[in-house]
Amino acid sequence: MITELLSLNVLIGIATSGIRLATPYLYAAIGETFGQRSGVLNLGVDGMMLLGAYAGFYVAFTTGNLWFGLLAAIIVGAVMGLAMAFISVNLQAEQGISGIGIYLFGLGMSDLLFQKTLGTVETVKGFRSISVPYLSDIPIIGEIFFQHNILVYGAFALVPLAWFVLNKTTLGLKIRAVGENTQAADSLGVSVSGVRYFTLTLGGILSGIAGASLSIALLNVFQVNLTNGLGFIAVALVYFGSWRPGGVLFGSLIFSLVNALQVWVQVLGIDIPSDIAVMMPYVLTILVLVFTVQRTRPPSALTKPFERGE
Amino acid sequence: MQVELQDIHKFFGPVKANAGISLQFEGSKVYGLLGENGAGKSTLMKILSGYQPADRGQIILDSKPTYFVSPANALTQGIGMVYQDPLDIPPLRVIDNYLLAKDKKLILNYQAAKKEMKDLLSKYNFDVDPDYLIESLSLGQRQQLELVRLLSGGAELLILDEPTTGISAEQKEVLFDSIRRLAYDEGKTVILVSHKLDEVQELCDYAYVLRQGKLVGGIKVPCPNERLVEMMFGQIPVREVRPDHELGKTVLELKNLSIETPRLTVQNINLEVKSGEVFGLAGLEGSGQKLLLQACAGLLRPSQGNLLLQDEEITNWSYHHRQQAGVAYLAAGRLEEGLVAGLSITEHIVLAQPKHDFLVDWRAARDITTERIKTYQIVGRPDSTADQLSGGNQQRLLFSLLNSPLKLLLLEHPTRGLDIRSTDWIWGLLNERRKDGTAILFMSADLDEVIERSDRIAVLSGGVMSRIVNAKETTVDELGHLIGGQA
Ligand SMILES: Nc1ncnc2c1ncn2[C@@H]1O[C@H](COP(=O)(O)OP(=O)(O)OP(=O)(O)O)[C@@H](O)[C@H]1O
Ligand SMILES: [Mg+2]
Repeated sequence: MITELLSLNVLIGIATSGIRLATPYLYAAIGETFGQRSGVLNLGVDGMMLLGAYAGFYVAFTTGNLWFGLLAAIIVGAVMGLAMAFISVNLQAEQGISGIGIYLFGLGMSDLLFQKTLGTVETVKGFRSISVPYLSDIPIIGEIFFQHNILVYGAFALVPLAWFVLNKTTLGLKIRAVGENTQAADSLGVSVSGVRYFTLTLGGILSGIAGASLSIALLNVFQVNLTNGLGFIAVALVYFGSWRPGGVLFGSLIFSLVNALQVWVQVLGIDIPSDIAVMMPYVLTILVLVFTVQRTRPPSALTKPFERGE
Repeated sequence: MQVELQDIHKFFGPVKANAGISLQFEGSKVYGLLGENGAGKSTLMKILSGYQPADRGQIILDSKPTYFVSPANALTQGIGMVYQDPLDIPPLRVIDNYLLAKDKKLILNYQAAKKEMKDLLSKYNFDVDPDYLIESLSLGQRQQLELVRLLSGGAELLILDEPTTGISAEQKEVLFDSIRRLAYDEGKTVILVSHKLDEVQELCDYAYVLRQGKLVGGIKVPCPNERLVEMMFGQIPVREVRPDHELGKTVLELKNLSIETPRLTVQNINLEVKSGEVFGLAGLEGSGQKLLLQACAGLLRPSQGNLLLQDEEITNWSYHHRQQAGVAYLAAGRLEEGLVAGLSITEHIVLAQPKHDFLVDWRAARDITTERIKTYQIVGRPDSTADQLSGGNQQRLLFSLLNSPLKLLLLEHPTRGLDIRSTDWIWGLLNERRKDGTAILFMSADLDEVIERSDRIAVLSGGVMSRIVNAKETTVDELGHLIGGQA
């Protein structure tokens, strides 16, 4: 039985779905990376993803245009990000609690809207795969990497882009300064609230896209709690990746590959209780977190609200 | 207890913080450890207290070589250090902090601990309430708490790293009394790291001097000040005479300004600072000088009154708006309020530029940085992070971040923690700015500095401002009276 898993076709299949499945993690975790580097822990990612997934699906379903769906997800994500920014920057609320509030709101609201507008599980035809000319013809490599839909490519392109912004641009420097020491960044002329509004809105937008990548590109359905806690994994991946886009990419790939493996194990009917197979990625996450996270230092101002004065 | 350091080496990359230092300390004596900024004093003392290991060399306690894995471990062997920034945990209560390091039992015995702590506190005339939160204590009180904690942990050798910076004159007296008592009545060894020669002369029996990571020598004190200065710097630095200078138009004007905070109300301040003028604010810590500076900077909103910058009403301008208009504020808490610990010198300089492009031109930034490092004589490399710099170099970095030209410069303890040469150097820099017409408003706890460097002086006492005195005509005595609230 195990030998079946090792055949070339199956291995290619696992790798291909691993790459595909990394998509929502990447969007959500890169967005969260920006937030945390600026010192805000947003635990509401999953809720933002759910609303994005719903909005994307509903608009795509009713208008028949996937791009409108994606745009709707972006708008909804941005609004949620702004809300989180208002709560944590202006109201200076406890970030852990407000994030959970955002999550519960997203969960409940997407469910309510789903019941009111769709009622039953529908499907859409999601974004189609695009074969990259020439590259997709390379044996094995082409199949694994270059025959995906646009959102998958986008997710992977985001990684170097995020790295570049964080390390090479003025904006990135400001984000890092705010995440380390709000007071000092402020005195150097950086607008702490401005930076945090930016990173949280960006995080919201990317969470919205992450949600939409599930509902109109990978699974192409919407149902209650579609994300199934995926947004929380994304938060964990940021820690796993030591607040670096490259680290986040690495974590997302490990996680999605194990997930893909788990799916294939079930598809092939290998004799492992399915509950255990489903648990595998989560157990792995916890183990990896336990063994890696202590070694890196989080941004010093993480979870600290900023207030001027004495 | 006999403590000996043998051939201690500590390198940070290319920086030789300690390059083969050997020293001895005996019981019942107070030692001074002197040296210019960046000489390696803190590094050496952190090695002796187990905070960081030496690259090479040995620590010998009562002729037995030993090795410390942590400050807690060093304390069990009788060595304790009060760091420049106290290592306590601010959100906790005093008593929790005290117990934290001590009580290994599962259930904490608060009653007994409180009594023990109170006894110790009153023995040395310290004034700390065990039930208070650390956050609400002054720096001097946090120091007292640290001392008591170390003493109860069995410290025989106590290291104090620049303990008198940032504490009140009264707390300083209490501290010095307790130091004498610890050394002469209880037979302990005390090491005082300091830049202030007067303090070393007053308190110590013997002084060691470091320069550029090496031991220059030891000398019995008291001794002539020039001897110490020469050992510290290799020569006696020439003091620049403060250049006289025509004052220009009024830059900053405060009209009936009041500031209310839960702890203190500053009332009805009327004040003018002219272009090219240096205006000094004296007073006990927490008498409202800082609030006043912060209100001028736009960090605090006054409850009443007006602020004018070159006759323009700026009372409601934000901090950033004022920054753009040429107002700069340097806070005293270098690593808390002024610099970002994890960022490099280059990154700081990029952040502080008035204009930003989307992309950072890192090559240009590096060039500016190298140039600033040179002009401001910062001991560090462009990629050294702020927390790797010695205290004095952090201060230089802060000054290098100021843009020119400025209309108004607000300074909180501009030379706190700096050695004499750096202090002179900083004031030279400030006097240059005066020539460009910058108005300077500063506060300092050092009355000599206030008198020597200012044109005019005002004293704050409990939020009330005294009459304004001319620096040339006043004395430390007169200021002392004003500080006490007498007119
Ligand atoms: N953690 C570190 N990493 C890199 N360099 C360091 C570190 N700690 C100290 N240094 C360097 O070692 C040298 C000595 O620093 P140290 O803090 O011992 O000086 P100091 O004599 O205490 O000066 P100051 O009077 O300014 O406090 C300095 O050049 C400093 O930049
Ligand atoms: Mg020092």
